Parts: sequence; C-alpha cells; structure tokens
Amino acid sequence: MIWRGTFSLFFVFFFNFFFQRLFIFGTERETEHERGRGRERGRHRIGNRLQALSHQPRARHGARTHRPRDRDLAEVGRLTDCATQAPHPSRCLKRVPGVAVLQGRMFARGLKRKSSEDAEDADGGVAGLPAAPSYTLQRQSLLDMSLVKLQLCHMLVEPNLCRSVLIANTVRQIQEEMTQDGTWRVVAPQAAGRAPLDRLVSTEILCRSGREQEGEGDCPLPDPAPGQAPRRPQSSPWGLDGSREGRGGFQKSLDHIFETLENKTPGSVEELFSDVDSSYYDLDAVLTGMVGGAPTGPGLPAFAPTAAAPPSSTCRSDLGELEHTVEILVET
Amino acid sequence: MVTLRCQLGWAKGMPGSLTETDIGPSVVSPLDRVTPPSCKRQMMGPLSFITMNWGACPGHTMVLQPSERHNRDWSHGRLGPWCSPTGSPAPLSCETGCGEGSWILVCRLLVPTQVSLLSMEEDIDTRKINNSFLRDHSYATEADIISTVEFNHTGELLATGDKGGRVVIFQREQESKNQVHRRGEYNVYSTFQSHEPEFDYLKSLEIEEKINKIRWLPQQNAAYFLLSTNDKTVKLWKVSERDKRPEGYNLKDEEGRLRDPATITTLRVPVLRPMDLMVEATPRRVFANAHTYHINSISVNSDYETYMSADDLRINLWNFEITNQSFNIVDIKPANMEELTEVITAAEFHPHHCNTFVYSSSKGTIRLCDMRASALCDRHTKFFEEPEDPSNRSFFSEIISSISDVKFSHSGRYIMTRDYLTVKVWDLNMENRPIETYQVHDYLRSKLCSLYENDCIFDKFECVWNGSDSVIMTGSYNNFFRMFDRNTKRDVTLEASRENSKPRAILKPRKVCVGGKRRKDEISVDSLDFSKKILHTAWHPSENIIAVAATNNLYIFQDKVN
Repeated sequence: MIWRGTFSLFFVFFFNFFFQRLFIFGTERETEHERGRGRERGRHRIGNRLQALSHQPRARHGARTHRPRDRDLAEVGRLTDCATQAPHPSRCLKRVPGVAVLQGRMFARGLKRKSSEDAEDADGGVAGLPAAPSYTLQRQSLLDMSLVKLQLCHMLVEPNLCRSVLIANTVRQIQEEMTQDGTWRVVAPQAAGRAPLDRLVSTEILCRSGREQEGEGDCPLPDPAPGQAPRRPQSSPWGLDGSREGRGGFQKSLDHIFETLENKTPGSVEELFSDVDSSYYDLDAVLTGMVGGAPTGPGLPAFAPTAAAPPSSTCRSDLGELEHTVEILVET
Repeated sequence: MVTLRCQLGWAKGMPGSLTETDIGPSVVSPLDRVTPPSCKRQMMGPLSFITMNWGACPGHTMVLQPSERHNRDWSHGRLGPWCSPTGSPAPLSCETGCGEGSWILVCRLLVPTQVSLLSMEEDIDTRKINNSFLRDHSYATEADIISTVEFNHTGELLATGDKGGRVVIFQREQESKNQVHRRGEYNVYSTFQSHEPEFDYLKSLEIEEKINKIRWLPQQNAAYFLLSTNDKTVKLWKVSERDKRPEGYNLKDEEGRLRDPATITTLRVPVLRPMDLMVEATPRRVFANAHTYHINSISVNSDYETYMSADDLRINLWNFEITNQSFNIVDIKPANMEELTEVITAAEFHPHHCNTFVYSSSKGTIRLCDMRASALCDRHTKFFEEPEDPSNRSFFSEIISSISDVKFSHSGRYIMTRDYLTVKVWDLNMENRPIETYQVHDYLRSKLCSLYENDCIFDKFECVWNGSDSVIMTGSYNNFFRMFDRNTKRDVTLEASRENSKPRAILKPRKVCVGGKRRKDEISVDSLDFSKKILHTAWHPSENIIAVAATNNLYIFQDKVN
C-alpha cells in the first residue's frame, strides 16, 4: 500500500529529523559559540551588545552636550550588574548613583517623547552630572535590558510565565513605539512562498545583521503593522541569535505531521510545543542540564527541549529543505 | 559536598535540660548551600521555633524534626504551657495606629535552620543545640522563606507554608482567667511536609515544592482540613488530634510485637487509655496533573463541596471527592501562543454565592464570572478595569498595573485588588473604576526602572481585609506593612523587624520621606532594603490579630484595646 509505505517512511524521516536537528545544532554551536555554554554565553553576548551600545551614540548624534564616556560606562555598569544579578532581587538603587538620578528624570511622570524636548533635557542637565540621556537611548537600553531578562532564565526550574509575558509586552511596546517614531527600518519580507511566515521573519536575524554594521543603532523591524504583534519577542530565549523563521516553519510543519498521524493525545503534543513556544529555555543550559546527569525520560521527550532550539541562520537552508520535504510528505 | 549531621530533640522547661522521654532523635542532613542544583532539594533542614524571651523565665525551646522519608508524615507532641512572664506589661497608649488602638507584638516565631555551628560527623550534645538556638540567628536557608499565611475560619489556627514544601500550623493559646494577657499567642500545633520537589521528565524541569497557597475548609467535625498547593498539585490534608490509644490487645503485646498464640491463655477487651496529645496530618486527597502552568491560587467554594485552582492560563473546578477529574471553567490560552499577552494572576470564589467568582489578570483587569451562564466561563459577566491615567504613562505602566492579589470582602460586596503601587477597592456594582484607591508606596514610582532591573517590580504582594471590612492591610519593602482604615481614611506604616520586636512592645508607625528634608525617625527611599519584603499577611477573621510573614520570620501582632 502506497500510503502505508509513505507512513513508515514518514516515521523514519521524522526521527531522522530530530536527530538531524540535534546534530546540526550541535555543530553549529561549536562554530558559533566558542566562548562557552550557559550563562557565560549570555554574559559574553551582553558584552558584545554593550560594545555595540557604546557605538551607537557616536554614530547617531553629531553634536553632544555631554561626554559620551560617562553615560556609556554608567549604562554598561547598569546592564552588567543586571546581567550578573538579574535573578536576585537586591538593593540596587544605590548601585549606580548616576543612573538613579538619570532614571528619576527618565521615567518621571509625563514622559516626554518629542525630540525637541530631548534637546531641552540635554541642555538642562543636572548640575555636576552629564545631562539626561536622550529618550531614544533610554528606550534602547530598556529594550536591551528586557531582552537580557528574557534570556536569563533559571536553568532547572520552569520560568515564570507571568513575568515573561510582562517583559515581552514591554519589549513589544518599545518596538511599537520605535516603529511609530520611524526609528525602525522596515525591511521587505523574505522569500516569497511562505505567506504565513512573513511575520515570522525574525527580528533577531535583522538585529544581528544590524549589529554587525558599524554605528547601527536600533534594530530594524519588519512589518510594523499594528495588527500583528511585531514578532514573538517573548518567544526568543536567544534574544538576538538564532533564526526564528526556520523554527516557526518547523513548528507548523510538525503540527501538520502530528495531525496527519492522528496522534492520540493531540492536546499533550500541542502542550509540548506550545510550552516550548512560551518558555524561555536557554538551550545551552538545557543541554548541559541534560548532559550533566539530569534524568532524561524516554527518547522522544528528551528531544523536546532541543526541538525548541531555534536553528541558527547557517542551517536555515538545511531546515528549509527539510520543511519542504515534510510538506511534500504531508500532502501525499 | 559538606554534609552535617545532628541530633535533635525536645526540650522542656529550662533550656539545656532534657527528659529522656521527650527525645525523639532523628538524623537529618540540613540544607547545604554548596550543592549542585540537582541535589539541592533532597535535603531538608531542621525546623525550629523559639518563643520570645520573656525576661526572667525563658520560654520553651522546641526543636522539631522533619521527616526523613518523604512519604511519612511525622507528628509531634503538643507543647507544654509557657512559663509565665514575671512582671506586668507596660501600660499602652492608644494614640497612634489605626483602628482603636496600637499594635503590639505578641510573639515572634523564628525559623532558623542553619546548623553550621555543629561540627561534622559528630554526635552533638543536645544541650548545645538548645543553647545555640536560644540566641538570635540571622541566617536562614532559603527553604524557610514563608510563602503563604492563612488563618482558619474561626481564627484558632494559623497555617504557614514555606518554600521547602512544609506546612506549619499554629494554634491559639486558650484564654484563661488568670492569664488574661496571654490572649492571642500562638503555639506550634502541627508541622508536616506537604509537597516534595518533583522532576518533570517530559520537560526536564524541576517542579518546586514551594507552597503557593493554603486554604482552610470550614470545620465540620473534630478534624481540621486544609488545601495546600504547589505549582502543580493540590493536596487536601486532614489534621486530627489523638489523645487516646488502645491498650490491651490480645495478639500484640505492648510494644506491638506479635504474640505467640500458644501463649495466650485469657482474652481481654482492649481499652482506650489517655495519652499525650498527638497531632497527625494525613493527606486525604491529591489533585494532580490538571495544570500545565503554575498554580497561583486556590479558593474554596461556599458550598464546601467544590473548589477551584487557577494557573496562569486556566482555572479548574474540582470536587473534593473526585481527584481524577476536574472541570475547566476558564481558559484564556490563545490558539497561538505567540499572541499571549495576558495571564491570570489570582482567582477567588464569592464568599456567599457559590456560582460567582472573580479572576484578575496581568493587565490590571478583573473579570467576574457566573458559572450558571455556561460551562466554560470565557465570557465574563462583569469586567472591571480602570481607565489608564495618561499623565502617568510610562513603559512600566502595564507591569505595575498587573494585579497580584484579589480578595472579596467578607460581606461579598466589594473586591480588593493589589497592583504594584496601589490597593484598590471595587464595588461589584460599578465596573468602570474602583471606589477607593490607596497608595501603598508611591515613592517608588520614580524608581521603577531600577526596580525593573532588579526584578522587584515583579513582586506579588497580597492584601487582606479585616473581619469587619473596615481596614485593609498589605505589605511593602523594608519589612514595612501598611494598613488603611476605610472609614477614617487614615493609614499607618508599621515595621516587622527583629530590632523593634520586644514582647508586648508597641509598634511605632514608620514613615518614608520622599523629599529632601529627612526628619529624625524617617527613612529615606534610597535606604530601603528591597530584599526584605512583606508579601504575605493574614488577618484574624473576627479579632484584630494579624500575622505578618517577613522572609523566614512570622510575626503576630494584636491590637491592644484597654
């Protein structure tokens, strides 16, 4: 029977798929992230971003009324502290006194948004301190901080969904505002033929390419239609690494797969991936947790976290081929 | 890895003296701070409570032993009476405070568990343990952080749950004529390990054993029933007393060993003889596997037959008798998880109408649902939301509007909600805005970015009504807690701390200064300790006795009215 043959081929392919994904991701990680795993990786990435941050003002603003170094260092200090101490609430209001004052001005009531008033703020700086940074810079740093928070998840305990949703909403709000301000560069959506994936074109890819360019400040965001939430910032534990697009397509294909296989417990399978969607695992952490002796269940569930791993950009083409093949199989 | 062994036992009377019959040794390994994460939760620390030092006569030192095996609930004997304090309490003034009088500290129950004073691998003289526990220890292991506090319906019992999965129940000291000042003191009644850490193999994640909520059932017979829940599982516990034991079995001898039937020559009827009171806690029901996300609230229905459990996206209705089924009554999970923007943060049944309940969301909205309308209450009956104040808008507006707790008033006419900076009282009949708004710590409004950075902005504070719905209370940082009198519109800030807590001392109202000039007793905003937060408080249902949980300490205050 033809369909049965296809069915079994399907199964074989399905498992190969997982294996391949794991393998691909494994090699990918070695080449791209040689600095280490887990939280170290996050920290180093923060370092990169901070350097990028320090480049921003110089490129974007010509004349400045304050010295760039102080504020950058202050922001660096603040963000670094955040990265290293994010999971532990502590008395941090006195940590960076300069920033505390800045924040007093930053997010006071009646937050001013017009650029003309930014100049006013810059002119009327606090005596003895550099003038308050511009609103856009503060917004950018808040965005970075939020993305860092989304990344730094607890390794072994399930992350707090409420907190993640709130941070994600904040990120989305910032992105929407940046879009309205026109500070986001709209990029045409990627290859045709993937209409449902249009809005899944990843912020991260574009951000990564944007970061690599000198003096590039804000990350470009495609498709700023207010109806569609700009990306799934909340479902990107990697922040700015990894491709969402391939993964999104992969998810949808897998859903098709499971439907055709008439899975007996579609709910649980859906839960599996939906939880993966909404959770913010650090793949490195999960993998190290698994390798490090945490008990693993049966073979298939053991791959579930890794299935969450977004493939990086270089293996997107491979995944694209796989997806294509899967779609063919589904349609037969 | 460092492992400490210690022997714990009872102590009665003067510290340092032990009677042999009281010692119930058990070798446990206290929580170790230098463990890899995977082994952290396998060890439990000893749990101990110390009564306040009353002066001439120190009170009891009691050291409890947790069960070594996870599935064995242990029980302990009841405490003997306290020593009576010498001297009379100082006269109290009634000028400060909220309500009728001032608040005095009744008892402070410490939960220190660090036993690093003990050397390794040695049998320690238990006298040394008692002496060391008499002194104040400021350290505490993370497992002792109290995560929920709840009075029962009569106020006689007070239950606390902690991060280590333990439930401790305190019972009120009985009033007696010659000891009228002892009213309102609570002693440990029972302790048991309610939840254990689990591992979800499917997701390779640990399920915390932290007790998220405890709810009492109204008492229907001699035993007490309570529901306790962690992130995934709800359990119904029965706490019962036993003060008699049967003696005179035919087939067993006094130690319980079987007798050789050939040696039995006479028959006798076993009789019940009184024994020392023993309090046992047994799990009667386990309601598991119904929640994918973390349970944040449970609420017992007024019909006393059903209850609901709410997690981030769903609310389930249970019957107490049926553990393998539950009804899903609210489901806000979107078809596409990418579109998730709102989660459920708290839920509660109406105190009198068994068909009505409310649930709050992370966007600052409250929905009231009627279960008679449909099986799945996705469409609310009433929707409470206050329009946003445009002048206060910032990037953190949504986060600080997220409601962390919702409570019905005892009358059932009002609901109170707590978001990050305010407490709001809503009338059930008015949906478009609250009838009262109280600022808890508005001085933090300018510090929101720092609080976002150190994650304090995500702290979930609870709020409580008093018995007559005239005063509301909620916690804040720096071990402060605030009370608002709805009738007189007065409010007071009090502190629950060790330094201010001599027994029977009046609590002095505290003030946080915002502006430049700081008066003598005020504390400035920048000096606040954000690691000391009071998230959980409880108010006695009929009297002015409050229980305040400050990290690992439980403070009980009462309102002294002469």
